[in-house]
Amino acid sequence: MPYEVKPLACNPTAVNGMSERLIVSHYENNYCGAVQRLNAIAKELAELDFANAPIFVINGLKREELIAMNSMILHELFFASLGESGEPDAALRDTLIRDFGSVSAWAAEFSAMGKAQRGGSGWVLLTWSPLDHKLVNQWAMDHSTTLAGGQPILALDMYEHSYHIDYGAQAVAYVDAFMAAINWPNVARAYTEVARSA
Amino acid sequence: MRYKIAPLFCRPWTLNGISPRLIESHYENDYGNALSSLNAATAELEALDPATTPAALIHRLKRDEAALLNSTLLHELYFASLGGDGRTLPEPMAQAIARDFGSVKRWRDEFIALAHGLAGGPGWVLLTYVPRDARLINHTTAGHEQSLAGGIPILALDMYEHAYHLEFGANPAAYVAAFMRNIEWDTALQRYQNAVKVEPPPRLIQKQFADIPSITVEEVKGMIESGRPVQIIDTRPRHYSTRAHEIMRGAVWRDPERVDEWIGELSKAEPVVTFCVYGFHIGCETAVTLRKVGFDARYLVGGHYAWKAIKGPLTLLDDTSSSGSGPVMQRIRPEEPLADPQLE
Repeated sequence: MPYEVKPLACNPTAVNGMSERLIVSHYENNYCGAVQRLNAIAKELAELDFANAPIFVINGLKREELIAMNSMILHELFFASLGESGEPDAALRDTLIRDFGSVSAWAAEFSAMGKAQRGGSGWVLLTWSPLDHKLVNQWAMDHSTTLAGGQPILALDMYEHSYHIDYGAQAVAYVDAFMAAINWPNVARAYTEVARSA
Repeated sequence: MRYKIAPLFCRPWTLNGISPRLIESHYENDYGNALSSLNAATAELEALDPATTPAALIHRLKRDEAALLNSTLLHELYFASLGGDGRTLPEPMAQAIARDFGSVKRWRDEFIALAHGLAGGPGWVLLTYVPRDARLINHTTAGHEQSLAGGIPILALDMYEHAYHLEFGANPAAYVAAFMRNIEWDTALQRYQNAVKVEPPPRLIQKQFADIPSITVEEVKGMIESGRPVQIIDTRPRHYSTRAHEIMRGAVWRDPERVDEWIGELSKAEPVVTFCVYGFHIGCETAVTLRKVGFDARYLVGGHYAWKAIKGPLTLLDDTSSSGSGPVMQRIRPEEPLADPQLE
């Protein structure tokens, strides 16, 4: 069954510091584009004779499948991470304090990791690490880099398509806008889910 | 500061469909940031004592240094790739591209397709001269740090989104078309002409066998597949072949120490190919011996392992042939299928 495009999880007219044009372009071109690519790849894979296919065809398609699938998953989380300004709820706040020292220490690390990826591509993810039973900030150089077994609950897209329309090369201002626009209720819900299954 | 900034090579106001604003942001922010970070990483590395610094720290800094240096070099090449009309290829450039890609159109279609394949993700599309094979190739990179080993890029298309998003948004196809309309081919030709002066990496030369004709494994495979007669003799030393399990299909093993005993099986009317394990001495010496008495003998470059490396067909080496008392010289006939590269 083909993957279906999910509706935009945030209201693109109500994200402080990001224009509707930026968010809609990001959603239509990059997110929807990833889902379409994923479906095209899935179709090719379904028709592939794995036993006899050349290794570069198998490697190429499976690599592109991973990239497109992670792009889909992470973009959905990214749009769900955006909303109006707010604060983490008590349970999430306590966990951030336990795992990072304070909410502001977590935020300083997370935003610095985003700014360090200016001019390139990648993700910064707040991820539940089942191994450590804690939250970690995870660096990703592209869609395919994720912590094995980790559950991302907040995603900052540092691909340049996430900000160039509004901010040009000013990635720092984009990261600051993102930090102020985190949809904490959604993050808290995602945290509750992963913490319950832990 | 080890690395100095290079001035913008192209004139931004002359570009067709790419605005000065985009080039200025790209030059100042992306190229400029790469260069200043490169200098910072280099300074940090110079201040360290590699003998006592934790290896992990050196590793991190060197990885960043390589990515930043490549970003610097490729951005300079990118700005130098722009400023022309994209259409007018100097004759030697058009000839080189037609030679290596079939036609300029085919090169162009492939280059554009590679760029479209990078849409929405970062990377470079490069036209690179490969000295090993003395030819041009198009290739992509998934980041600044990748490059073709020993290759010399002569044309660079930046597919990082900072190269186009400001002006083209999420429409990389329009950006790629604009890039193609602005390629500056005259300086690309200069870079190509400089690149072709780079010699291929030196190959193995065996001076003592310099005047003995050799043959490559590809040539022998071609002879076998087209049914041309050839007598192929595996002359791996006895101590080696008694431990070996497989032999080139179509070859027979003969003891290089006892040429006199089997030379009578050979025909002077058809070429002889001799080889040993790696192609260094024994196969060559056997060819010398055979040539002295009038055989058209050549040694196989790279020997048994070069044949294996091109996935040439093999057959099991049985005890009789390894003992040297095997069947008389088998002759390869065109009706014998040899396309299957698997061990039989």
